[in-house]
Amino acid sequence: MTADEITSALAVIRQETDLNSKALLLAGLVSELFRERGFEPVVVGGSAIEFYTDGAYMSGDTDICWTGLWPPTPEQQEEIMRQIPGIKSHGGVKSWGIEELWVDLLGEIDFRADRDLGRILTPFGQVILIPVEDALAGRVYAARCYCSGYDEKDDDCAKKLMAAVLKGDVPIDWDEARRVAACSKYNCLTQFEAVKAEVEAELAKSES
Amino acid sequence: MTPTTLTIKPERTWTWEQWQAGRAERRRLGNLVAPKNIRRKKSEGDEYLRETYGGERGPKFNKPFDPSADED
Repeated sequence: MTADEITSALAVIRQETDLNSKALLLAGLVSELFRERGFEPVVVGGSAIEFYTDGAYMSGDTDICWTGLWPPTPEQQEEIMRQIPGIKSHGGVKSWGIEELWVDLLGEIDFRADRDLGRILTPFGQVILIPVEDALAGRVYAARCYCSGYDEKDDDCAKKLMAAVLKGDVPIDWDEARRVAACSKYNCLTQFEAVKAEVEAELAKSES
Repeated sequence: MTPTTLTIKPERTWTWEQWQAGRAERRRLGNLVAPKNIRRKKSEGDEYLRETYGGERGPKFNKPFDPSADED
């Protein structure tokens, strides 16, 4: 992208008043800047789930990891991000703020699903999303297995994503999702099936 | 737009227009099984978020297609 194209994209992002659209447009711009240099950014975490569900879960930052042959070095990350006029950094080259949003550049992606990524084509670039199977199993694990054993916010988040896949809004490979939930990283297949059953019941109740 | 080198199935791809068109339904569906706004109260290393958003972890939700989104 040329400097003028980046400035034009920023003007659109600045005028966008909807948080989720604004964050997705910024993710598209940042993804494009890295992709045109040969890197493959992937949006992970709560922002990926927000883009999948519109679930009002996301905070003010979008987490980006890397797949492909190699991740950008810190120097490359800084050089690429500094193309965006007015951008500020926090904590070295990890967190970048622009237009009252933050983008966190993290490490290589660590996912268990067989790389069935999602993709949203924004006006400024493609946004690649962590496989929904990984996002769902990971959120069930965070909600019902991690640390204290139950986190209400993560549980609500998992339920919203489960509702989206049960209704077919987001395609899912159930065998793959169960395999990911059962893997040693999460080991939460029982909890995964419980969330699925609970959400199926709640959806059935709401439709009766 | 630079093409990705990753293999992504067509059924897992949404255009901008498709994504926008599906938002109200996705939100309606999610609200059947969980509260409208479910943002975490805290997470590791979010001090710069609170600095940016007046003590909160993010800006207010503002969904033009769902004016009631900010109610709770």
